[in-house]
Amino acid sequence: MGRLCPFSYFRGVSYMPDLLFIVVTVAVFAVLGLVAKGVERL
Amino acid sequence: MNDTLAGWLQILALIGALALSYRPLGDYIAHILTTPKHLRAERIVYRLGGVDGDADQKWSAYLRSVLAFSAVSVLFLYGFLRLQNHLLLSIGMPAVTPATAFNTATSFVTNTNWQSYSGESTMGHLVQMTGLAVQNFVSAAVGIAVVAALIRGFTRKKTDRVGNFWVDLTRVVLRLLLPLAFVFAIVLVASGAIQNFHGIESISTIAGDHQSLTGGPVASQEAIKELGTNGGGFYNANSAHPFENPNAFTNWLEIYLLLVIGFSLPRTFGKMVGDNRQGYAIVAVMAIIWASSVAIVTANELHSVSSQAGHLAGGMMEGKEQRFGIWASALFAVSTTLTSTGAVNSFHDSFSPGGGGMTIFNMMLGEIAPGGTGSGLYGILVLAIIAVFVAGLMVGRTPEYLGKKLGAREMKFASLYILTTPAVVLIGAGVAMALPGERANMLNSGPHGFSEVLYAFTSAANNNGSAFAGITVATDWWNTALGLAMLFGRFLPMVFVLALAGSLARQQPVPVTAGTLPTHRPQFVGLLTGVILIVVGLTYFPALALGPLAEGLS
Repeated sequence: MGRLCPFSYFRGVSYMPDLLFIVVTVAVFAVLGLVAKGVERL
Repeated sequence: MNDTLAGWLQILALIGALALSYRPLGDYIAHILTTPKHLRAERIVYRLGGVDGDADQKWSAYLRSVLAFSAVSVLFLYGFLRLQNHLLLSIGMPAVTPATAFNTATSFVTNTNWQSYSGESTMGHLVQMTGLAVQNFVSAAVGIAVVAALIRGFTRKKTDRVGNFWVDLTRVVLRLLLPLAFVFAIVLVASGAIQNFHGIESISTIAGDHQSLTGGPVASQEAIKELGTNGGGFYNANSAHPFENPNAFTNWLEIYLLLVIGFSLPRTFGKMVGDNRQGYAIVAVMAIIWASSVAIVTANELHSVSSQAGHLAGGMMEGKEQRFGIWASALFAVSTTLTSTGAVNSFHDSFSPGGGGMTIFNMMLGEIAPGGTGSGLYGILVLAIIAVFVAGLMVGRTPEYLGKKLGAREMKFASLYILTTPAVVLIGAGVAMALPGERANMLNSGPHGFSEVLYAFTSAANNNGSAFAGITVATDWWNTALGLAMLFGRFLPMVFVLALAGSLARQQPVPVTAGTLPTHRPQFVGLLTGVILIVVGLTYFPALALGPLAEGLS
């Protein structure tokens, strides 16, 4: 698979899985932050 | 010396060493967490990070610091693993695959150290030293920082400040973990663990075959692996590998290291709340559960023998190292699953149904006896709050613990805390069993296969990291699912603990009266032990009935 990320500089590597896991990580911590916001209102 | 005598002696020596460490180490940790003085090295760290070391944070700011630090740590370690082939000392290792990198990054940041890879054939030396070992230090320090905030919730009054996360983190790493790990790494090297920068070497075996052996900075990682209740091994065989754990003495020392901070923290708690008896009560509960578990697992491994080979070996020797035997393997298995360590010196999948089931139950208890560094103490303190609340219901009084009233708000946080981890475990295991493709990763069918799946999610969500084995988890689905279980299992409870700390800190303490439940006496030790067993037993009983209990009765 060719390059799928415009800012990648290592040829011949797909960066979609990397982007996916980075998004998943950020999303999990965003959810944790939202839970904390909700807990503040308890 | 026969095995029975040797087994008893090592248990007694371990109890003696832990008892001797309790007071000085607990007092020292309390000093680290309470002294207003900063060391020069700490001031440099604060300056580099733009931190005001004298400014305390609200619980919400403390939590944001924990989450921000951990999120950046996951992303940084993920990048490190994906780019390791471009780094120094990679010893020819390719980049770690995305799913394995995600699983490993979340695993080490959450203090779980679940490993879906073989360290000696996946990780280069630089990643081991500056990626994984660094997380061994800081993830352990995060746990201690969070429990420090909770204890301050009990000790402070009419304030919304519970301490400074960056100060706690820096102090615990620099004053506690680094010095201890340095000393014990040298002891391990002197005892036979390896410490070098060798790459992969091929040797000829006695049988004429070839075997690849990977050298590396093992002893330095081994010390903090146990001390910080991390558990991630340099080698796939973990502490069963002779380069990590060469002999009976290092085995005993590793068990001591993985227990010592957890068993000393109740002293820190007693010291900080100004009543050492409170610490003795908590450590008594921890000791009762630990000793009972040691007795149950050892007895099962010695006597639950169903095969002729087992009778000849004198017990369940399958999956255990000959140089450690049954007693030291059982002692290690109990200690590693009752803390959040997860290091193993034997194959838990080969334990008897009673012994293997007990290791799962140990983790299901929430790893509170003594538990992970910091996480064990805040876990048992939340259960102590539940126990005080139950006692208050019995006598019709508003419950109070250490002078703080336990109202609706506090009980909501405590209830959410004890529900979170079981939800992650049971939903995760349920989804895995419902998907035919993931169920196919079990190497055994029936109750034992279910135990493998249940163990995996229990280990991940409780941030233990030990593996039952017998299940193929190096797939994208398992790496991702267990990674998510580790993140939610670690940080959701922290949200509720810090919210509880903030709520307690705001209160004006109430004076002790004749109606106050004494929480330092033997009856409270019994009450708390009972609440722990009943709450956990009821939560997990259906799942345990489908796995180890069904197997043991069949």
